Amino acid sequence: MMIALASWSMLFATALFGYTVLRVQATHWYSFGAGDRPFIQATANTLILLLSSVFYKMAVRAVGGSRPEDVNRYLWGTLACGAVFGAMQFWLWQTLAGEGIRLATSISASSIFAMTGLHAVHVLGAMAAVFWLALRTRRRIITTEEKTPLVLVGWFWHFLTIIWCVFYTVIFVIH
Amino acid sequence: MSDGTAHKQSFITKYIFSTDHKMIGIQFLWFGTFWLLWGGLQAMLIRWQLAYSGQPVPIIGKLLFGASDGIITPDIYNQIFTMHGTIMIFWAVTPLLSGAFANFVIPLQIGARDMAFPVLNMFSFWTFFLSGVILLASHFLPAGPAAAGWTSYPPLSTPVGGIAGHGQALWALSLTLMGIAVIMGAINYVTTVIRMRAPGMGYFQMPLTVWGIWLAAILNAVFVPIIAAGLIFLLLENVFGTQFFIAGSKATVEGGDPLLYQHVFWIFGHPEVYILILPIWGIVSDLLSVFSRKPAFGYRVTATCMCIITCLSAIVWGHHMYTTGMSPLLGKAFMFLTLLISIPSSVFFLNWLGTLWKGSLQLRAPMLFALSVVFVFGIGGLTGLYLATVTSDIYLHDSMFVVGHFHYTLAASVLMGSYAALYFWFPKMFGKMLNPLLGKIHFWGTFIPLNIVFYNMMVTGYAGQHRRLYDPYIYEFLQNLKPLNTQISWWAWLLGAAQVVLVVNLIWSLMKGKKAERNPWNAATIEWTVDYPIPHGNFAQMPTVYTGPHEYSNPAIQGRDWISQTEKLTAAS
Repeated sequence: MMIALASWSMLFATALFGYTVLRVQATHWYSFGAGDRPFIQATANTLILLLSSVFYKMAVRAVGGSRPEDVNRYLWGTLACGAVFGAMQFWLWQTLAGEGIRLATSISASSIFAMTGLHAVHVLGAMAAVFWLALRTRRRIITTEEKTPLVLVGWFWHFLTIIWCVFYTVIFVIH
Repeated sequence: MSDGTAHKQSFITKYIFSTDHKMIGIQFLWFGTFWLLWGGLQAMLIRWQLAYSGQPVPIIGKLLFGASDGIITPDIYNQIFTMHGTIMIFWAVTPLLSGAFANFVIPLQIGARDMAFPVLNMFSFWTFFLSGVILLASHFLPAGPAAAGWTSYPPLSTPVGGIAGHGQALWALSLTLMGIAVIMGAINYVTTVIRMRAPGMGYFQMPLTVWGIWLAAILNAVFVPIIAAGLIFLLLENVFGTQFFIAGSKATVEGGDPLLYQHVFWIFGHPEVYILILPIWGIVSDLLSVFSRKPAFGYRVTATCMCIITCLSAIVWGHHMYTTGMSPLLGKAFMFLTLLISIPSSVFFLNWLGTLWKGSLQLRAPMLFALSVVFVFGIGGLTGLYLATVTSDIYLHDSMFVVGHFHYTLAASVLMGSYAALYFWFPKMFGKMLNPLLGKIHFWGTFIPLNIVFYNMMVTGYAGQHRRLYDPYIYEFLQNLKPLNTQISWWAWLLGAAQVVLVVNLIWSLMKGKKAERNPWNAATIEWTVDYPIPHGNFAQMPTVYTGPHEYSNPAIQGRDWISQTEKLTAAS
């Protein structure tokens, strides 16, 4: 899993590298002020994703504890956050499109859509994995020995949270 | 995970959706062979155009290019050389080395029951297969497949470039899928080698084959995602009309950057050539030792040199881009780093010669191919120096010299090395020996034409012939190269015809070949301690490793000149 994460890091790092090169060279770049709606949506989304990671961490902690049935509850919590994140992301794209900013409008617009889209696709994949874990823990209690899949999917989930924080900073905060 | 005991499998779980590394390896073998023949046929067509420009291709011309009466038009020519490069690198050599031999050999040579993640392994093959189907389908698009060269530089590879149809989009899509498949495989190989070596098998007891494949897998896991990101962006260009890689007037608007793609491509692309050649270095190092009946000379040094080259390969990509107007300081830095690679390369090359020196050479088919790698890789490596040096590269850039050089390193070395591996492990894969006489005919029929073809390609390049030209003879100064090019073509067709011998040998040996003994080459590595057919789970009893991988002609052993890695030196004497 660590090797897989190394591979994914290179994927996102390359996207970030391309973004940086394009942005540094450009004389004009679409950026957001603190009061803009896309900025507020993205900030809310960051908090939601951080919350989801906290839920996931609590799910892992609950394994082998006094209330093992909480594992399942927290996983559904993570999943709910993920779903809200996805919906918000879609709303964010709609907002941008409403302002006339679409995928092929300009390089900066393309970058915003491509990077957030690349991330969102991975979040969907991670949600599928968490969904699978949530189903598996629905009726049975997993022991400390059985928690490897839970831990590994967790690494991926937290990884995507970190990637989002980086993307959020470079796309929405810096201007 | 298999427990090593025989168990019932249905046809589908045994031959199609198999999780057994040996079956997946064999699936990759046939998959890669199919594409090798397909890409080879395209090479024959390229040579037709360079020898007899504008004349209809005989026999198969009407069938392939009916619309133009069998003549290769400029558009078709672009498609053919694009697909030839793409297929040979990504769908022929990659599945053969990082698919077939990696899968088959790693667990057997390190004494593991299977890969670390057998199901992931299965997904790797079928993702690869799907990518192949998409690439094959792109050949049948009305406007034909991709045509912007195997490097697919923008803007040519984008809608702005003017290549008709959706070939370029399917190219990017299939290559992305192929990348995902390769990463899945790489994760498996790296983990398996780290976690699943048999007791006693330290890193410096591993055969050099495993070293080579393992290092290539590390490069795959780290650098393939880079091109995947580039390809996803290229796909967006082609499907949604973004313009990341299209240069704009930067003073007035935000502009895309075609050089960005070139950097991303070569940050991956240079490690890629080592992904292809590292397994071959490992295989050749081992085979030279087996067929010289001597331990590999400087084993630890060879392994270390391969590690050093793996690291260096990550920081030399700029030598593909000397002519892009990069700063002279940067060019010098890349030149220095590139030339630095020649030091570890020379060291293990000398180690090869050291292995051969005063050995009892057995010139059997795998050894002939392994020896030819020493020769062709030597030429490929030396001609690389001209291209690593900025001053000579600027003259030779994008000429047929480059084509000759990378065909020597990649086509010649990798192909001959793959054949060596095929002849060597075929008995363990299928329980039959390949016919040795046909093997030798195949060897000489490949080796001689191959050298004439690729050497003279470099000559034409030195004389000024640019690569990828549809009809070089519209330039007056290239017209005198026509006889030479025609000769190259005839030798190339002979080279192609010699591969028929291999196909005949494969089919004949599979059906009527001599039954292989357990250890036909008297080799010391672990895969030769198990009988064909190897059960799912490989070993009835897990092996324990006592000696290094090249225990040949040890004076302490009486009666034979080798002991297996699983034998104690004292017990065998």
